[in-house]
Amino acid sequence: MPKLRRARVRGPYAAVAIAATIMLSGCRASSPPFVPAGPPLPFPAADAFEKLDSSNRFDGIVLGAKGKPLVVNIWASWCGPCRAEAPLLGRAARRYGSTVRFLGVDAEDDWSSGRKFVARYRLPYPNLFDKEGQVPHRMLMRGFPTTYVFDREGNLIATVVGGISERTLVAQIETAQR
Amino acid sequence: MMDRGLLASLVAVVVVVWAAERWILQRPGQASVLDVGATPLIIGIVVARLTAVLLDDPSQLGRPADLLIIRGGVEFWAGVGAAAAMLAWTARRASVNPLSYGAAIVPAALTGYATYSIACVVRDGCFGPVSPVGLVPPFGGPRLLPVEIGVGLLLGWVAWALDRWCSFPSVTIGIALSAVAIVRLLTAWMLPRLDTGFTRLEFESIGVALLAGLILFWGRRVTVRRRVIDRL
Repeated sequence: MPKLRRARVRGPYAAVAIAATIMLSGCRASSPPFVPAGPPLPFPAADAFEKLDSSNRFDGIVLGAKGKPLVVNIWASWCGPCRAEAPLLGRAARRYGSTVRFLGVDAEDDWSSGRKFVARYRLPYPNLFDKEGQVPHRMLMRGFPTTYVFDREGNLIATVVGGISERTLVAQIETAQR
Repeated sequence: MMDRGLLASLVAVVVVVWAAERWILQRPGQASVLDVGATPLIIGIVVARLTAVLLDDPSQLGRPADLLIIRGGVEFWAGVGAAAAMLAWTARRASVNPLSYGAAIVPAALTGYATYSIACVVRDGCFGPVSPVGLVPPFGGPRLLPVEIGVGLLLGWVAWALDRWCSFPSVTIGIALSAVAIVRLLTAWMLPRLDTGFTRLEFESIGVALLAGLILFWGRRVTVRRRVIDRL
């Protein structure tokens, strides 16, 4: 068998690889359970991009969404991983839209950038504009983006911090639908 | 933000490949794949990510930071092709047959891929069809057959078998490519997915499996011709 030339430098490759992985990845930490409170509110229209007055309205929408699984994605237009996962969420919403509700929350962002984001990725589900970041604070969110999956009874069954993969999203949705 | 699961997977790959080369795989006197494969691996990841961006969302080219988000998607076979080209170029510089060069690291590379597959337990979870025998996902629900663990064990065995029994470079590479292509094709159907029809990934895997078949056929013809020449 042929002899392979030994590389002179090994350590820096490993260091660069590990550092890149650390910097360019998303978090995988879980957050404490979220229990919405207050009266249930109607679910926004599919093409809505509405200002969120208070986190109480978010709680009400989540409560009002009972009966179908709910996927809540908290994003911002300045967040790279949010841009990376937006097409996936759009596809998932188109596929499962009749049986699963999707809700986006544009947090700590500006209005025009958020609208452009929704238009650019043609998100087929409603989005709430939360300039002050009330929802991330309410959910004790640890990083952008974060995706929450609720089952039919409104119980939070999954939290994914950082970009979500297709397999994880589909597996969580199908579990929530059972 | 740190993706501990991905980091743990990569650490597991490095450790297992190092241990396999040291104690299991029979390549005495050879440089480690962790040495010779580092640059091709980086080149492969970069090309895989760039290809995915060009195909799915070319507007990201204007945002260098978005290009670095590997989780945003990579084109696996484009990356493999780029890494293979880099290895071939390195082999030419070393005046070594590129096929032999590539075949020498195939077992360790397959071991790394198998380890990454099995490390799904520490990443997003190991998914598959609902099964009485399986793992419960991190978010609960029914037991799911851990397809990726099975894939990892199978490819690990293929790596060991190629290392032990296969001495023809083209056959080694052909079998490895076809094994990975077939496995990726099957897992694409068995793992949770959004698309219902054939995807780009599946077409690519089918193409690579056909290419691997051609490599095997060509290698077999070359071997037979050499034997005939030797007898004359």
